[in-house]
Amino acid sequence: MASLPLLRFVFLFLPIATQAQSRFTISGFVTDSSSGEALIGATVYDARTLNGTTSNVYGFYSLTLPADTILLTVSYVGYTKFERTLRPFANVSLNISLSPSIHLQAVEIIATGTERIEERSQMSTITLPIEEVKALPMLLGERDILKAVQLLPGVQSGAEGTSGLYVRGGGPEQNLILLDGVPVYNASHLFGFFSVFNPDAVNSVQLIKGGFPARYGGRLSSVLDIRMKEGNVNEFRGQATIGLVASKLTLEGPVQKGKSSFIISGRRTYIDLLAQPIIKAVSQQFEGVKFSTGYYFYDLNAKFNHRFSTRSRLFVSSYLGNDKAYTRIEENYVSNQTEVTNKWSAALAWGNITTAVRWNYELSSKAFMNVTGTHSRYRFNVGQEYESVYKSASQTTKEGFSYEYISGIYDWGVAIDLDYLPNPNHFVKVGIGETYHTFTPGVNTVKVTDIGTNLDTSFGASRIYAHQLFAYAEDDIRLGYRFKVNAGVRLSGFLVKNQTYAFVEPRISGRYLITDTWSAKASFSTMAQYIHLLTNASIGLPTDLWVPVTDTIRPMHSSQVALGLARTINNTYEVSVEGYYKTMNNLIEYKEGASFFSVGNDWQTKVESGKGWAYGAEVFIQKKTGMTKGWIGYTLSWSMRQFENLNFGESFPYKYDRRHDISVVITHKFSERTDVGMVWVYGTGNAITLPITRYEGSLQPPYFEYIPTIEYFAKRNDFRMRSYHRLDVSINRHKQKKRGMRTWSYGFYNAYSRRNPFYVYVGHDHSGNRQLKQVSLFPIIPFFSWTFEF
Amino acid sequence: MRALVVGCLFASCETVITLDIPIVKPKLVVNGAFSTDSTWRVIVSESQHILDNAQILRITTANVKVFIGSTLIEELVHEGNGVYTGSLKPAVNQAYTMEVSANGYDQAWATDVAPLPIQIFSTDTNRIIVQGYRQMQCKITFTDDGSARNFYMIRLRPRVGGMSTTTSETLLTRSMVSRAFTLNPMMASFRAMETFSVLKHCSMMA
Repeated sequence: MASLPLLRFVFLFLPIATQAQSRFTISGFVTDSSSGEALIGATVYDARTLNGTTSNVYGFYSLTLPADTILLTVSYVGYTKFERTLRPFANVSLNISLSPSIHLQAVEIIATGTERIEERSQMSTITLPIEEVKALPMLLGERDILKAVQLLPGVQSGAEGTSGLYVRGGGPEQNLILLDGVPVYNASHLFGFFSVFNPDAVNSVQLIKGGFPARYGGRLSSVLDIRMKEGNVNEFRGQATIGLVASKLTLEGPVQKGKSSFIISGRRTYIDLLAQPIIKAVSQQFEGVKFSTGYYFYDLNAKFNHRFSTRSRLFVSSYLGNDKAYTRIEENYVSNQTEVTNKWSAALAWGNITTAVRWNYELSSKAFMNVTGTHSRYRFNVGQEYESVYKSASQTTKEGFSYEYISGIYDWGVAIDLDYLPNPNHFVKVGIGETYHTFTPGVNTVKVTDIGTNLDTSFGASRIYAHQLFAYAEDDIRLGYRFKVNAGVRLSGFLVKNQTYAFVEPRISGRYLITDTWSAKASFSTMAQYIHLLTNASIGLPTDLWVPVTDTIRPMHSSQVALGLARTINNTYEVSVEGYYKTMNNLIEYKEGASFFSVGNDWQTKVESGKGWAYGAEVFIQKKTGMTKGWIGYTLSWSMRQFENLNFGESFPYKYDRRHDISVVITHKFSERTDVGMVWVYGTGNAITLPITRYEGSLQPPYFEYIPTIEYFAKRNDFRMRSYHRLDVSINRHKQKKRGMRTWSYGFYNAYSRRNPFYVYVGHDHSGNRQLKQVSLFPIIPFFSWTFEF
Repeated sequence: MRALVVGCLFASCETVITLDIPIVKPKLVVNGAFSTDSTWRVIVSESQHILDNAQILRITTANVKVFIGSTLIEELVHEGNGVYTGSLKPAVNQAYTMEVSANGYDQAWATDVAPLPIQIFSTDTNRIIVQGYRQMQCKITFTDDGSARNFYMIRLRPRVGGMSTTTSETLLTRSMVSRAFTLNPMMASFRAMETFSVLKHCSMMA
């Protein structure tokens, strides 16, 4: 394999750790004392010299220090600090469990928590506090990770109520959404109104918008690294929630106490079940007609882990989710002594399955290896069937047709990652991996049974197989007290249909401590993306198709430079200010007038290729501790696109180009029994395309009575809808019951019932006068939910 | 689709808004079809601001000329109300250029060819009664060139008066050589949701 020499090459550049007698390594795992869950990103340091490190995504840490008395300190936000004086004479293996702080009411815990923002070499990176997300008000009370991510600066939401992410001027297809390291291709339920991630099963969420470390790649604009909980290794726990839209149940517990555990979390909507009696009642009014329709989604997260020894651990995790909308109609009538039955049914369904098997192995006290095998499947199909049966005294004839459109993407992947911590001045990560993709960009199946015709055919794009390869090396290097740099390189390649593409993606991000609490940061990164999303400009539906690069459609490529300042004030507030400039090449869009229905044959001829650029500034002020927590985010941004054959070759604003975007997110805990959440968002109106003139259409021979009017659109996205703003509030009431904790949550979405624009069209008033009309979706919407934790 | 789904869940609301849509100089518009079984017949009008409530202004003083290459073959005559007619029928697959000029407007022109008309093999109708309403089923059979992407317009007219209805868009597959249309309002409205890979666009009037 070509990657082996590469790995050797990479190791050549690893800092050579001289195993001098005078240095010892302290290593182990940082976990939550009650659940045994890994604490990701906990700070581990010697309080005397301030040499330190952070725990990785499995909770593993390794700290190599000169042989001397050290005050080993481990801290994590919301947990009581661990301190122990050590004087190591040999390498020490020390697993540390931290207890959650429960004295919130009495004193404000001043937790230095995870590595302070100004000390991190990385920039444009935000860790989402999961517990806060759970206290926030959300549409219909359905807690949602992607919607919480939308509240961060640099992230634009798409259409009202939906969970799409538009990061620093990029599109939703440019986000690498990883669930336990496996890419999730369509992270939405209910046409985008809910995301597939259930916060009850999630341990941590990290968003990276720029200065990407070399270990991540494959998408242009962002990385959303979501890690599922591992399951409580000490005791059996559960949580049940009944909400307006869906109900959820999460169960977790030890399989073998202290060694292995599981977590399983499921959710299903029940609008369809509740609506069924009403639909039945309505359809009974029509004699001879049976009608049923519905919509549901469900998802299931499951994870199992087993610790073979202190050094070796296995994780198996899986996500399964599906959405389905269906309609069925049946009618019966008699015509010319023939009994006729017409049946019509249509369904639209999509879903993801992801599976990851990971094996951690502590190679030495300084080296940690993880081997991952992944499988991911995304499938979308839409279909309908129509059948007529004619039954007369003499004979029965049938005619009908069925149609099905299927598209999907199947991945098998394998990766090996190695963390190497020779001393506190280096944190090296290297890895290689491959993903084998099978794309089904759109296959149509048509069956026709008719008098004189019998047809059963499949047509459309055939399967495309591709290999995606990568290798990376990065090092988080401390150069003295003031400088810290994360430098790395990622090599990526894509093999499809005898065509090979490859990129060298350099990445660098660093900080310079101006004072103890102030730092300046800078980063540069390039990213390559070998898969495209064909999407209709107006709506984000599951009909969006994932397609690979081909010999004519080239990979997307981006470069981003960012500069910023970071500071912690009074150990309480984290403040960062960043500016960025990003370019994107080989973006694709449908040609004018083309859509997914017509791409089956050869989608490559239906798209245009162009470029984009985005720039802006972001301010983020976050309070992570205390009774009142939350953040304020402000984004000033521009995002443009230019395609040779769109908009007459002129540049135009991206649909979600948003000049100003503000989010204010606050949670406040009044007591152990009561807490409240509030979200206020403001955004400049989305760019829209409107007709400026109209003219008479064609006379159509041989009949001339009908002349349509045609609207003329001059420029793309040349108009702006009104600005968007909204306040959501919620109150959570907790009560300790005999068997567990009960929580009632109530709240309002769009509390002051702002009529926010969803779309604008040219309509008429009652007298037929033409006017512009804005359609709004959600007025004030109350919600409630009931949760029981045991 | 999303609007549809949500519309079912919540009553969406509309607000009349104002946006500054620029006023541009009206352009000359000529519109007509090149059909091998008809003589030229076009409408000349001007474009209008999108929010203008007036009737679209027809141009009655235009010069409408038809060329093959640079050779003038016919000048259309104003029949009235902006409709201009000629005496020639276009030949199959011959490129024609139509040029229109009128005082106060920039010249408008277009070049196009008339396609070969399709041959309808058979039409078959059947009267049915559904829930006490008289309805008609109609079956039209024609051959489609599978290698080309074509758009068809199929129109049905009642021979004797009656209400004229237009179904929603009905789509056909290229693979299908024959196909039944049911002119049942309920079924027709669902037909609008029919989805195929290659679209044949038909508007139907009964």
